[in-house]
Amino acid sequence: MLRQFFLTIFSGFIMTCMAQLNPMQKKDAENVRQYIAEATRNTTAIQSEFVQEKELSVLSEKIISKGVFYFRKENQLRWEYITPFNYLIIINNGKLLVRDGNTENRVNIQSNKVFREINNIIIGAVQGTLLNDTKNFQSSLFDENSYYLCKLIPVNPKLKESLSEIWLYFNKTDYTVDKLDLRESSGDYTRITFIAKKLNPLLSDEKFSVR
Amino acid sequence: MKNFLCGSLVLLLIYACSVSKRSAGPEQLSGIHSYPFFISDTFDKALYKATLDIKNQHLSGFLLIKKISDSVHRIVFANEIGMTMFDFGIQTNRFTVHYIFEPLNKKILVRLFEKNFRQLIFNDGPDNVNPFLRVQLQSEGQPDQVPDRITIVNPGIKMSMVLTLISQ
Repeated sequence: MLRQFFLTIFSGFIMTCMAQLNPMQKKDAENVRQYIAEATRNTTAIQSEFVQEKELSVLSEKIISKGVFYFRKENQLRWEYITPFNYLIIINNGKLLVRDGNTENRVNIQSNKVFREINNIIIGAVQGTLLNDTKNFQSSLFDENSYYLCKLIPVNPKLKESLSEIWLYFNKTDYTVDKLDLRESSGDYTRITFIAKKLNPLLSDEKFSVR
Repeated sequence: MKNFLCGSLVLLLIYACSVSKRSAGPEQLSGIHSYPFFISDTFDKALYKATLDIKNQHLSGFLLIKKISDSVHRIVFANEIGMTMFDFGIQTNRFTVHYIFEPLNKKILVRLFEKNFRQLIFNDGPDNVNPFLRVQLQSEGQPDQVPDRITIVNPGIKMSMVLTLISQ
């Protein structure tokens, strides 16, 4: 009786999991990947606000930050936290600037092996090859209610120690990212939700200045 | 765009996780004070903006101090992107490392973190026997309230941590 009870509970749990997350058929997944690659090709610039929630599951706490980000092809990014404090990161063609309050820190990505490798990942990403980049990530696609969910597992063991998976949630209409999770092996994760997203806006050079 | 976002975030993550160089050393403290703010009945939690300098390496982000029970406090340091750098549990007679980012996982550093947080939370006296474990702690704010700003310096190993209160 007890065994039957647990079996029922267990199968109910499995079915709930399956209902929430349906791995996509190979052909459907290929189609979605193509649409995503096309959206990537057609996007030359992005401007968006974001909300970042760091979930500390054991402590039942959330740390919430908000900010804006700008991207322009090929390799320019401005990622700016506005609350609870100002913190700015700019990447511009091999150079990186971090401004924390009044302190500025500049790094030449090209002179640093780690940054150079990361930069190569970005270029691969902009060219639309990251999801197929089996050298750096294992990727799989799921049909999850209102999103296509792409799970990326880093191949690099050092990266994997800090970051077990990246989950990207794609809008089913325009195939752009609406939110993403950076998941840690502890079970904690950081969720970044993009709001008021604008595709291909005109952005000034000033936004990406690292001087 | 997905690819861009993914790549960018990987870069941000690794940047935030990596330890960058900075020339400035720890500042000299003008006074040394410590109060047992964090074990009072009224204390629940405090979120600080945190910077941590170890020799010429620099890390920054959030530090959360939360009272789990009358005897247990949890201290979590995460970078701006949200990746956990360390997560400690501290009691009067016990110190638990729930997680520590591998480059920080050095025996002497963990002992120093324990010493620092033990003094901050329980107002334990400094260790005068081992010069490497010397702790200078300075706080600003009302004496009977959670401090607005805390500076912890370990001159023996050139480590300093500055905490600025965000919320409680």
